[in-house]
Amino acid sequence: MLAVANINKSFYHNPVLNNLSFRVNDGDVIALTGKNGAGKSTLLRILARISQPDGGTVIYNDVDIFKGKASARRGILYLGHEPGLYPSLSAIENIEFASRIHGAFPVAEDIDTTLKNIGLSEHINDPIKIYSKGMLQRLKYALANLLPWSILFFDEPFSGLDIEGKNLALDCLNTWKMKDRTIIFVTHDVEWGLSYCNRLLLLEAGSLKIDKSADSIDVKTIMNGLQ
Amino acid sequence: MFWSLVRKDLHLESRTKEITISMLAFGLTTILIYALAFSASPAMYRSFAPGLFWVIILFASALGLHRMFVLEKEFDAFSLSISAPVDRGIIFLAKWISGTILLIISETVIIPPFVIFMGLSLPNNWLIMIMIIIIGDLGIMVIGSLVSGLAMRAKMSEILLPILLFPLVSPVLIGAVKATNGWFQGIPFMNWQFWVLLMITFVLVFALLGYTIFDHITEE
Repeated sequence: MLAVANINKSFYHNPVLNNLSFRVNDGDVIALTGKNGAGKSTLLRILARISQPDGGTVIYNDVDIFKGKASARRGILYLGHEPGLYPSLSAIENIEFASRIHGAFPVAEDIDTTLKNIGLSEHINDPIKIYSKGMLQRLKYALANLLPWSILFFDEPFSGLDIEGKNLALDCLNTWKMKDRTIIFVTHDVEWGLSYCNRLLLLEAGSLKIDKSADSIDVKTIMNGLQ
Repeated sequence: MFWSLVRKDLHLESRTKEITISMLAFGLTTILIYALAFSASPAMYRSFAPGLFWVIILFASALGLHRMFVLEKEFDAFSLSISAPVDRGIIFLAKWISGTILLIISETVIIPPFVIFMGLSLPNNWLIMIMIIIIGDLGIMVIGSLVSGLAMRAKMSEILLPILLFPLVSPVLIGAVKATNGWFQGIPFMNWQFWVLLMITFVLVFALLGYTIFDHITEE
């Protein structure tokens, strides 16, 4: 589904990613972990084609995302660390715009129901700049439930969520997992990563140190690697 | 897709009004300053009015363009558009057209006081002037959108924008001033059509250039 080969990236001559290669198969749920500055978020932004690598290729469904047509990237959804939405628009307006540019046209009823299910039934017509970090994070889950995607890149899925929000998020994640959706998460919660995901990638100083299936990894080994 | 992007920009502006307010505040203040500071004869006003008008529009556009791209940077909202399966050339074209629409809206407010305070008497053939204004606006905004896309990732984008914009846009601006002057003085179109053609050429070249390279200049 996705083949990453020899990705390099530097910022101001400081290497962030070094010769990174791995493959993602249909139905893979991958936890991408590593210390701060290891290059996790940069990698996700490259996979979503927001950032351009200095070298290497990212092949998605047999098409190089940096050389092929934009339509070849249909099915890729990126939910970054930042809200990635327009602060002056309301939740509904943001969802409608995001849907249209992703080629989807959800009906108003579905949007309302999804927002209600994720605990955002209030303030849905207010600009999202008044939202708390947790509310913005919930809005990302609403987006992921409404937009069509075949691979999801999600940077820190529990960031800013309270206990109720985390439970709602876990419900979403479990639903996606049961449907065999392909997901790459950036997470610092290794224990959750190993329990939920079927594969773990550990980045260290921009290089891939571990790429194993979750059931063959010892948590202590990873924790030692992160210390 | 194109209209969704244009609609989003216009919708954002209807919510924030940041772009039009910044353009109008600059435009109207400058007109007032010039009108009150100079006590020139009507003939003198007539001779420098075209140049003054387009300089006001250029600076107002620079302010509007800066705000337009700042709105994309807040909350990293631009990542939503550029990570979507949308040709980035289309994003550029949408920014260009929505910017031009907002500039034209601002001009409808700026032009009446400009004419009144400068005591100008205008020729009757308004359609030609509307055509010159639209081509001039398209020219300023096509170059402005390209340059703003380039500058938006820079740390000092507010400085980089005018440094890149003003020299690049000067042929369009000279053409617009010459064409406006030709219309204003009642000179036959044949005598100043070169300047209109020059502006149209710049619009087409930069539209094509922007469509082609916007993909590369917006990447991190």
